[in-house]
Amino acid sequence: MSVASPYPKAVPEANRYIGQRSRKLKGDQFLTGKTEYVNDLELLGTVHMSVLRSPHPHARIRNVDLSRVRQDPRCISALDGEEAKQHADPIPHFISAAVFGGKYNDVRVIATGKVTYRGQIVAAVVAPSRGDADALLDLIDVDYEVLPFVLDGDEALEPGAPLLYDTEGWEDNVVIRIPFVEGDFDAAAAGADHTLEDTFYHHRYSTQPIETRGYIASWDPRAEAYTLHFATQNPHPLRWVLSAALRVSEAQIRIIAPTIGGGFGLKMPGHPEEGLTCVFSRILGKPVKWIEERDEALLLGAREHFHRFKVAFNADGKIVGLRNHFTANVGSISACPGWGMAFLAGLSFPTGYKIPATDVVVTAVTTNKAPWQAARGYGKEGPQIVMERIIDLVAEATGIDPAEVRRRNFINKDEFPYKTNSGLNIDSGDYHQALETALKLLDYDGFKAKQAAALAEGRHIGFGIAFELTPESADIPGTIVGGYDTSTVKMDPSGKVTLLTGVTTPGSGNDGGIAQIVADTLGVDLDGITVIQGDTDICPYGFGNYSGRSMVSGGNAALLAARDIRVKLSKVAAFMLEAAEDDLVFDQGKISVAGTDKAVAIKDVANVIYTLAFATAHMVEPPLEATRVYKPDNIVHFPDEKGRIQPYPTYSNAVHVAIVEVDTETGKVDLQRFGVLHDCGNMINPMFVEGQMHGAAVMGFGAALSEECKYNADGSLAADRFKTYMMQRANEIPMVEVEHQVTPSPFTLLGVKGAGEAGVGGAAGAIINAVNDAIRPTGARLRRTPASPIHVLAALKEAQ
Amino acid sequence: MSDTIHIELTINGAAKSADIDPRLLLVEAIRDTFGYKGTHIGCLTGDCGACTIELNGEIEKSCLVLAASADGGEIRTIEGIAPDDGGLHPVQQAFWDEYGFQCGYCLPGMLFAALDLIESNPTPDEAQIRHAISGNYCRCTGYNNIVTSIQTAAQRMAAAK
Amino acid sequence: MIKNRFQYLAPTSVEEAANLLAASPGDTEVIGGGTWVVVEMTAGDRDPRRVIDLKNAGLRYIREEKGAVVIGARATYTDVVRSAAAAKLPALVAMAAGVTGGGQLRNRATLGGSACYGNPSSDVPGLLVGLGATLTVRSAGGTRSIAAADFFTGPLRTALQTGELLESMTIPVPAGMKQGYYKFKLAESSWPICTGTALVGADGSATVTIGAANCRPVTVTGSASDLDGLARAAEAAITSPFSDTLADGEYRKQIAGAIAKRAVKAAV
Ligand SMILES: Cc1cc2nc3c(=O)[nH]c(=O)nc-3n(C[C@@H](O)[C@@H](O)[C@H](O)COP(=O)(O)OP(=O)(O)OC[C@H]3O[C@@H](n4cnc5c(N)ncnc54)[C@H](O)[C@@H]3O)c2cc1C
Ligand code: FES
Ligand code: FES
Repeated sequence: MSVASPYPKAVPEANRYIGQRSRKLKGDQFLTGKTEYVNDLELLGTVHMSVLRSPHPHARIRNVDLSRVRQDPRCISALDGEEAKQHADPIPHFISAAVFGGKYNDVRVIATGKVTYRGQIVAAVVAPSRGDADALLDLIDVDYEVLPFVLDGDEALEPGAPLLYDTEGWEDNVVIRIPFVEGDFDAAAAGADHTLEDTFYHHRYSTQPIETRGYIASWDPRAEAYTLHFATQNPHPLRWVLSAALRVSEAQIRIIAPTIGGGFGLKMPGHPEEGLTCVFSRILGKPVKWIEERDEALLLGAREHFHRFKVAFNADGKIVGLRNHFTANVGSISACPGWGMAFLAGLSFPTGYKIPATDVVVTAVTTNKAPWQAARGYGKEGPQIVMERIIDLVAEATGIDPAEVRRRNFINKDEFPYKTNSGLNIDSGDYHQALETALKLLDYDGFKAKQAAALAEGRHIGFGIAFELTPESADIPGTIVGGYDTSTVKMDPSGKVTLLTGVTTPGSGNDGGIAQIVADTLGVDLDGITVIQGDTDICPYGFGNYSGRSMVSGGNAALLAARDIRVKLSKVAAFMLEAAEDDLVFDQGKISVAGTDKAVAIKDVANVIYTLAFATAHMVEPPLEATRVYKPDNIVHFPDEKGRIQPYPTYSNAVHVAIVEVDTETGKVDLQRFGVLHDCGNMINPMFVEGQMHGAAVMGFGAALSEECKYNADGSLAADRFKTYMMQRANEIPMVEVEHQVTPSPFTLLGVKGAGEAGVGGAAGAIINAVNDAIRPTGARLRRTPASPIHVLAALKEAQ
Repeated sequence: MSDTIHIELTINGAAKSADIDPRLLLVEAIRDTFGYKGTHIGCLTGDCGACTIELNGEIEKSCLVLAASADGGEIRTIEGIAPDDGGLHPVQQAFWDEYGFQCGYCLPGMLFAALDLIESNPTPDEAQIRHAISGNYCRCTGYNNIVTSIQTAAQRMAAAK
Repeated sequence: MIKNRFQYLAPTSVEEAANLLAASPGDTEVIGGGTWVVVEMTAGDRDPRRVIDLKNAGLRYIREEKGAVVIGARATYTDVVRSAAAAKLPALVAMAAGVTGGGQLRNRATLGGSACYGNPSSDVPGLLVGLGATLTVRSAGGTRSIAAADFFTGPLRTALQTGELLESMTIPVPAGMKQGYYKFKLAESSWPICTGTALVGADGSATVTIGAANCRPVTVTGSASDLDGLARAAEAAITSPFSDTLADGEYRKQIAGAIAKRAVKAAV
């Protein structure tokens, strides 16, 4: 693998950290139970919050009576929605649909007036222990006027459907309708050899890190400031959200995100409990703690799309037109960024395929389900699954091999950067090669014979392919979703390096990856670098963790900052060694003159810079500190002539392949092998990249096979614990076999692309295609996710 | 009804006692009463395994046990896995070397399940490893590197014998 | 943390346990392993004033007695897997080894607890009925025996009366018959959706008990050489299919025949 040299005289190849499988920073702390997560923090005088949630999916709140609870000696404080209004304004929406011409509704820390989903907060209490706080909820009396409700996205669009919001502008339940139309689909269809129409239902599922959300808010009445220990992916943006809601300046809020036990989008800002713990803390002057329970975490779903598509294609398998008008049931309105996934689902069609005429329209509709929250993949997984279904349907209709149909429709490697119909500017790739490698991984060519032999024994095995395009490192204009980030590199007088960055790690190891970049740039030992993330008072401004951005933005910013330090070290070292700067090599803690044995320790140079600022180090400006921002190329927010913007700098891609066996008596799918060819450009640490892909792919397995936010007819969440929201376990899946291809990004300094989101949609798509391949001889077709035994058996029965 | 109940335990070799609220789950007592925060809570329904400890020589999910019920018990937590010399246990070492965790939240369940397996089966194959850790969820790693870590640990431990 | 206070009791004999239970049965919960009841207390679904923990009541045993295996109510799935006596009942061992939740769960959860909980969507009820077990229950007044087929009376309902607790389960070793157990789950995390316990005689006669699919386990008889006939009988026997969040009864009924066949195959 070749890594573009990020500095003048590269650290000798053998000693480089970049490209190495360096171990996770502070791994021993994690392994011995010393790492502190939010729930582990004990602040003196902490009291505990519990929230009362609406038992109705849609109701007017007539009255909340807190008198009984307030009489109980365990009750330290209690609030209803009207009271909370005195303390907090509406929560600013992290990504407001109104910015894109959609509708807006106030979201408050406690509901006022109306509840629009079962589980919405209607009151909250604080007690000495969480157990007591939970017990107190039984003493709150709420009088509801129950209203008719709607759970289904299509039904919510029908005239006469219950209206969720009676505030201005809400004449129907449509949050936003966004067209992505290019070319003339009807003309393309009229001129094509064939057309086909079908539907696909992409169900609701969610993130579920093993650590739930957790917040400890403390208001210091003397300093008039908050210190918030919050398990959040985005400390700085959250500070902005809270300052607006809590009527304080951003300077009055310090957010310290401790180690996070997984995020995947769940821990992005906008949740009412964030502001609510702050409100109580301000009232009480004490730390207020709230840890989310699993059934609360399961309320927040993502993705529920109903796709109705029509494809126009020729006998040679070339697709000439795609129409897909789909609904996205985004649940109730929240201040969290979840709904935006619907936007990106539309924007991402038709992924990596060249289709001249596209007519894609997404309608985001609000219903009486709980809101969406951002989830890994952030909307792009829907198009991946559906496009790959479409390719297979075209293959079936034309009788052409599905791999070949992909080859015939892929963007060619010499066509990059390639502007898609929706305006995305895909940076680079070699999709054809990626496909070939992936197919070999699971011996595609040999599979047909195996399949026939199995079928002769009555066994149904299938092979599924899914290409995956993953736009990463987004910058969404007009929102607090930034595509750039900031890093600070400091070298102290003893030569030790501290790295502070605005990106955060939910466990992915980006702290280590960024440190690798800095270590190489400065020629220092990786273990000597201290990384600090997640503290708004200490770290430079940054957006935190989402959209596979840590290396692209934070990593490249650290590279720039480290280079600035290096320039100073280099000048002083050249003076000390009486050599030309061009001849200096930084390596293993030393700066030496190439081809000689003259060398000086980096720590000595650092010391000279601090202590001999007017002598040896006269030519540089102390201290050794640099803060730099990295704004990747390729993001274009000025609309083009068609009004389209280009919010992503990088586009990683992957080809997923899966082999399944379907038990046609029960509908159960056994995933037997799974492989993926992944191309995210240059890799700083392939082990971390692979780890991301392993985890994302297995989330995709869950999406394809078992995870489902099922609702009961009464509007309550049926899948409210891990017994019913079934994630994949180790003994039902095979290894995720990963291979890499490296097509560097031409638009980022290190040639890196985003990694971390890729995998969910691709894996799910490959499995759904494999299931369909396996059951094809029965005449059945699965038109939905998940391919759980119940849905697969239903499809099989329907074909009988 | 007395408000508290007296319990005595050993945790990682140290004798501990406390008068506890009978409502406490063992995981809560271990974390909050006795301060061993390395044992995590992920579900409180017995599904995730993040609260795993060893109780009287057997691995258990400590959210399924009342603290009162563990009275007299001998407990080992994740903090008690490493040898006293400050180094790591070979299983921990392998998890670090093989990147067997990301956020680390699931480690109590994964490490104890691995220890339990290797003790009874020093040369486990992939299927046996996958079965042994099936009581634990990991949302980050897709289990790949956990399986590899346990394989590596078993091999190294067998070689060291 | 469990939200309301309760008194914790750990009696040291089954008689003492029965007496304590008799004192105030209405507001008391019995804890076997606790994997159900503690979770439900944590979730606030159960709110007892008193808790009787059977851990010291001497009920953790498995022994052979007169051609039968007697399992104390507190014996865990792990105990079954490790027991020499239980090895006479391969279907029982297969069932115990196949309980999910990892070693951690099998080390704690008891067969007795599962029997008393009476959730149709579980392993123990179908297995006990399929192997013709008898349950011994105790109250302050003494003990009585109940055939497993009569014990499971419906979803989350058993023949246990107020003030009674389960003492042991006696499973006859079926001489000259092969045993098989097969469980179907939607995924590894799923409850059992349909189970089959089969006894196959030397003459090929087969008895299959289907668990988890019906509100009560159902038993059908036929011949191991006519699997399709057995399958049809099994499906037809599902007259009150059991539904829960994971799977509705219709699905369970649809697969019951296939599961019956697989249980017989597991035995042969
Ligand atoms: C992660 C996980 C995985 C699981 N997997 C499976 C599985 O694969 N298959 C399966 O069938 N089940 C499974 N279960 C359910 C499991 O909890 C039960 O099968 C278990 O055996 C219950 O036993 P227990 O001793 O823990 O019950 P407890 O919680 O102690 O008791 C259950 C009920 O029985 C009562 N009770 C207990 N003992 C007695 C007694 N002696 N007399 C009177 N009443 C009594 C209690 O009051 C309570 O109402 C799983 C549970 C978890 C948490
Ligand atoms: S917290 Fe105990 S198993 Fe999840
Ligand atoms: S490493 Fe995050 S849950 Fe396992």
